[in-house]
Amino acid sequence: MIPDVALVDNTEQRTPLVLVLDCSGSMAGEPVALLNEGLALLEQELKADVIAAKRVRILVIQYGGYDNAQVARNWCDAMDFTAPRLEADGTTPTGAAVELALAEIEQEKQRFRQAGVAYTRPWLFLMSDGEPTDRWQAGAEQARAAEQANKVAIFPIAVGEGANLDMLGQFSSRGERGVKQLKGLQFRELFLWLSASMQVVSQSRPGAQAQLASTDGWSVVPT
Amino acid sequence: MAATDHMKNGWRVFGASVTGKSHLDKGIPCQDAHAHVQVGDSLVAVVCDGAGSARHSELGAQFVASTLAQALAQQLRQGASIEALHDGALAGAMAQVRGELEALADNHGAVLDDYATTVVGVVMGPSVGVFFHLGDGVGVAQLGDGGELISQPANGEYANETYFITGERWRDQLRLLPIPRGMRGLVLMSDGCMPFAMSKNNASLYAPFMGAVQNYLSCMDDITLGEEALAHTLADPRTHQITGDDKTLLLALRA
Repeated sequence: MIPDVALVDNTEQRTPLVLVLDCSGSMAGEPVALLNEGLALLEQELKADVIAAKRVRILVIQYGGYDNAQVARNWCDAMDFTAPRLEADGTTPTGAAVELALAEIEQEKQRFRQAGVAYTRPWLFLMSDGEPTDRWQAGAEQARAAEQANKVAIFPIAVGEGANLDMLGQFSSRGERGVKQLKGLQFRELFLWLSASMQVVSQSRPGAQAQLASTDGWSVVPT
Repeated sequence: MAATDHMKNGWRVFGASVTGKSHLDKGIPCQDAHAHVQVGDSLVAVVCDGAGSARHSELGAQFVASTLAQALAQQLRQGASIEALHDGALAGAMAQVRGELEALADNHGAVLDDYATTVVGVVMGPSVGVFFHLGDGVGVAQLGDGGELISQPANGEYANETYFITGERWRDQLRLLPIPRGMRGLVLMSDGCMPFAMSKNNASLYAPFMGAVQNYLSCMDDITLGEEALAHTLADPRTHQITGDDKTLLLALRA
């Protein structure tokens, strides 16, 4: 053993995660309460992993109100993340929310490049329990193009029976096959899976395939 | 693997490849490899990092490191200049090694991608040299004036993706960096060592680690003992908090 060597981690690397969350009126009551609990769990789990806490970078976008898409939590490292307490009310501007998310992702990448920070492919989680109320097709087209160009990985999640799977599928380059249907209101299992996946991706190395857990714990298997 | 052609020994070379924590835990062999050959006062050194996703990447890394080092040494013996290597002979040697790897894959009922590996290496002549680089890992030439010339990793956009010699577009991804004057030391490493052997953003060697390693090895007459100490240092459990990846470090010091 060579004496007096310092062994510290000088890596500057980030794994961006964007949550685009439906806070329209139909989410009121138990759904949004369980969503908030899931977000708190995500905060807790990521902070508990020393590497993920430094590397995962989170942005939360909520959409609802009067066709309003807005940043609920601005970009921050997981160690500084505090889960928002979202309230549900109003309409479902899914298209505007996704357009905002894609623009935020490109701006964040720009900042990474300027600062010389390496990053992994951003993940965009799009959750919705209903029908969009805005002109969502342009946002969906942008989302598909961005995913096809490998700029982002998009995970549309259908919440409840009222979600429009066909519409959500148009936000994925894989179409409806890319959509996961949330089992009941199992936000807890969903966010546990998400934090575990972020821990894997944030520590993945070139050439190694990230081994992610099955989504069976929270998603309904399509038949 | 090391070989010396002449009595005159211009470089003292220490190399070690050790298995990372995540591979130890899963019983997977080390997928890094290194090789070097000295031809007179000239040095050829190669570090390869096999892709974790490829079935036989440990064999790919070993094959490419040793075969490419030998092929380049052969070119030097035949009188090739650094300029000639830069201007096509080096890429030609890589194409030859890639072709041999494809034949090896064929013979084993496998495909070239099963042997995917990155390559970072150097050919250093008496006065000038050249880095060659495909994918990640780092090469650092420590110049006489105290400066460092760094062959940086190239990953494409994302940090967890990289390029391999087995890729279709390897010629486009191959980068050559001339070393314009003599150097006192050389360091090659796989990406597993980069977090603790390089400073932030790979701006320079990280002195609190590399300085201690070089000071120790510069006083070490016995190459084998030096390489054992280097391997032990790379296997230090403290590195497991930093990376789960295999770690290769190769240092060449002026004799």
